[in-house]
Amino acid sequence: MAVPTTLDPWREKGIPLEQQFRSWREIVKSPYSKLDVDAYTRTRIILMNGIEIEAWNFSHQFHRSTDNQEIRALLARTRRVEEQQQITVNWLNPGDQTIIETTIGYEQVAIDMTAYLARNEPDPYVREAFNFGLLEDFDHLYRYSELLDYLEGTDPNTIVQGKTDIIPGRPTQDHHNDPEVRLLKHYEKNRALPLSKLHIMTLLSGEQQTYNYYKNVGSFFTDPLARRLYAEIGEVEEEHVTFYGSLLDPTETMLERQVLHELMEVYNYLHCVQQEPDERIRGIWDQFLHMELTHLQLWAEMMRKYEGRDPAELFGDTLTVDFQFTENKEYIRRTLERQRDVRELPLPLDGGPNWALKDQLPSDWQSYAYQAAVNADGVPSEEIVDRQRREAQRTERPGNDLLERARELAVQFRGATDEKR
Amino acid sequence: MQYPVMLDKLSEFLMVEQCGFELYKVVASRSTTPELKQKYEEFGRETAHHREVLIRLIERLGGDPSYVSPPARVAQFKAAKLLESALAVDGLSQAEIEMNDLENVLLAETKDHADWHLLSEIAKQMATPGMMDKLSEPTSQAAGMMPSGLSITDMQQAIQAAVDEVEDEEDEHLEWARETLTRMCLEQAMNGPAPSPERWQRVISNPYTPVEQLHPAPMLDDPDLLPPSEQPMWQDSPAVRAVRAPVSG
Repeated sequence: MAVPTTLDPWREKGIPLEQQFRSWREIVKSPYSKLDVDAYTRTRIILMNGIEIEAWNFSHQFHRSTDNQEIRALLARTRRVEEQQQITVNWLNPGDQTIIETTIGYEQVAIDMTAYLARNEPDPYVREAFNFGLLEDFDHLYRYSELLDYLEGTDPNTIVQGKTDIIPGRPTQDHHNDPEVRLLKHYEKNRALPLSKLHIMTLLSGEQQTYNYYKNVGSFFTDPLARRLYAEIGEVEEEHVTFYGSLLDPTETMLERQVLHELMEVYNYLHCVQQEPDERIRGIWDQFLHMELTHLQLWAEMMRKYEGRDPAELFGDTLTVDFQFTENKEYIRRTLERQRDVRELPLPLDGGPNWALKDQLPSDWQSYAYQAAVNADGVPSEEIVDRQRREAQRTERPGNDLLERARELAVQFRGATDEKR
Repeated sequence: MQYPVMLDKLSEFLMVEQCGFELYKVVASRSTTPELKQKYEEFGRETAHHREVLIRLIERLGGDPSYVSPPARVAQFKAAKLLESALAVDGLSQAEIEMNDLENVLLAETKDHADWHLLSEIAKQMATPGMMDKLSEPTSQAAGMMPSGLSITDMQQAIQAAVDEVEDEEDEHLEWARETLTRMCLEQAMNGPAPSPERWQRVISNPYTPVEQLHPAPMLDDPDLLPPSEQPMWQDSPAVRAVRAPVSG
């Protein structure tokens, strides 16, 4: 575990807002080299891109909902900075990193971020929500690894660098749920710890960007199976955005959410600064951290002015950051053993369970009908496994052993799933 | 008498009646208490009529009833927030949802009543001896901006007629909402039935529902992989935190 870093986000000096706009050359920096980048440098870049996109997106929603000129003006100013930050961060990805290689990076973010957050989440209910999503993203990594091998002949371990296991999780064909089933209880904004709110908003931002990415790049492929696989997993990401989004207290005000977004950005840039081994990129994280501190403090002032609330009372006097991208293999293996067969139930208004083992699901479980509809004429995430099984004997490539073992498990889990239907 | 102010206020009052009508439609449709449902439907019809009275009055005073003044926009925003409170009632018992609706009616009728009271006061002041002459002087701003053919006397009479037509019903709406809310809440506080203490726990993540009750195989604390959280999942409420915060300096 990293040594926690604590700061006073309401007073720590940032970069003045009027000094935050940058030139095109300052905005667009040299990308990393995909040949020697640290896997977790790549995941930090993917995560922070998602966080900036969410900050930008929420800022637009807020500005469309108010005609207070002071608020709209500050939104416009901070949003433009977020937009420039997003370019800088996303443009660190190199042009020679293929779509599927980047996709492997996205899934590594989802896995190692979700696992770490689950391990450190103080709310047991939220933690189980994280664990549930974790095993789904874990399976996506395996399915996309097969696609990477099939289309490009690349060993997925060149991306994850042995830090994240590539084996099947809860089979993707079982991730497709009736939309209502994905709705969870939400936290109580007055009582929940700021840490839980930060975890949820961080994860939601990451999942949303994964959704955005798959839904944009899926159509760039000519291979029909790749197109279908991106469609299938992209829809699961929509389920995840719904799933994690439903954890937010819907009575939070727009200003409260704006402050939460800024605090989330500070939280995440801080662990990036703390953990980043690449000095050049660490400099970017540090610069952006100090931009976000200013944003946070300006929005804190707006909250004091328009809601009469001190954000420090709402979110705490200090911010302690202990998140890090790190290996979570043992935790994920243990979670997989216990929870692979767990499925979600609709929000239990009668006080019943929210999750059940698949052999205890009621016969009228809503998701059976949905799965019957979408999986009616084939399941891309299973088709890629079959395709690979047929092809596996022809060429010898790096990573074959790893994927062959994973493939055997995938077929084994599929048998267990199909048997239950 | 500032004629533009008068038209702005009338636009606002019309919006309040419109929003009140919409509120009555919503609460009547979801109430399961016959007494409340019947009153909501009755008052909703009367509120629709008050809307017509105001449209007639605005036209009589030479205004445009489609004009939506800035204060009317704010009034509409506030009224929408009352209705929006229904989007945050999950976890409340049916009785609590009904009380929330009735409280919204009380708030809306309080504003509505204040609007008509103001109109009544304007009509009274306009009728004060000497005021008619003063307002009718060619240099008066009211006279200068009013449509030709409309005298101050016409204006006063139109306002008074509208107030006379509506005032008793507005008194009844407010009185009924206040007394009924008090009576029903008192009844619930003294005699129940008390709503289930678990009602909100079904929609809000909380420390009182063991996760084992919700999940068949939760990840349990493990000193290596899943250390127990150093903090409880809930903190004190903002009010308690603020009051008990150490005083600096």
